[in-house]
Amino acid sequence: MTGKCIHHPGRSAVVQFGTDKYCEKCKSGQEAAAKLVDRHVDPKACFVWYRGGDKWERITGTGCAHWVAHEKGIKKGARIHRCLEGYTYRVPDLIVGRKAVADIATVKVGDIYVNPRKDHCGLVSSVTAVKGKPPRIEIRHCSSRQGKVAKNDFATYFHSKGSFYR
Amino acid sequence: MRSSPLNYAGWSVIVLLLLAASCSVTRENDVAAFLAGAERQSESEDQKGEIRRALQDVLKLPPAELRGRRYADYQMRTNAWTVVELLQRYYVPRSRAFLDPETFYDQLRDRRVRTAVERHLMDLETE
Repeated sequence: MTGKCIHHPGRSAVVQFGTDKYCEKCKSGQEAAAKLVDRHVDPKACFVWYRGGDKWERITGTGCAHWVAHEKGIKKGARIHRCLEGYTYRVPDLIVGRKAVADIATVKVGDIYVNPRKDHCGLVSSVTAVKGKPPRIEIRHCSSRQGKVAKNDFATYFHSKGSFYR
Repeated sequence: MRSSPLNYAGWSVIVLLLLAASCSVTRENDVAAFLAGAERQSESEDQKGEIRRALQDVLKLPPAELRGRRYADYQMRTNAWTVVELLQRYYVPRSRAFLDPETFYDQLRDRRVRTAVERHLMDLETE
């Protein structure tokens, strides 16, 4: 690989994330920090940030928005609010410029689910029509509570509360 | 001609002292920088309850006692995290800011920390 480390211009780059290149010491720091990322976070390798002084740490927060951003290819928000690969990890940044789905009957697979306080989010993974009732909606989300990327029912797990964005 | 009692070197010392005093007043507080305007990410009422308990402890417990406290993790396994670990698991800072377990407990009496913690508690209470 050609080029220099983005953090240490005196060092040769050995790895690249997005357009940014990193030296061997940064690579080691990234890998060590990624091992400390919680088990439910997906993906893990890019959920790290540079602290300075050759130190890397796992990004803070639950990683719920980070998973959605990777699934949807969302790279909005300030650079410091995006992972090593450039994907958003803040919930508000995920839905910037998106329209709320006004009628729950029109929710589609791929819509972004955000809970009422906008502190958790996921993706609509299936919608099943139910005659005379709201559709049965399944949400796939990076669930810190369950320790994995899980599928849960909107009506029972999320108590039919929250908004959908497209 | 007599030289002024405050020559160039004298004025330089005064300016440096004023600068040092100014810096000590507005010195960055890592905890306040991390918490002020931070985004909370949490999934369940259990998790919010644990966050609330930790924030209340930050306001009321002496640093030595807080250092010994442990909180439940995401899956409510008890005595898993220090208060620093809990804040890192649930909050995303507005700007690039880091919590250092070595200095965290010495920075909690700062008014800016208390203001940020009170705001996060208010957020939790109004839900």
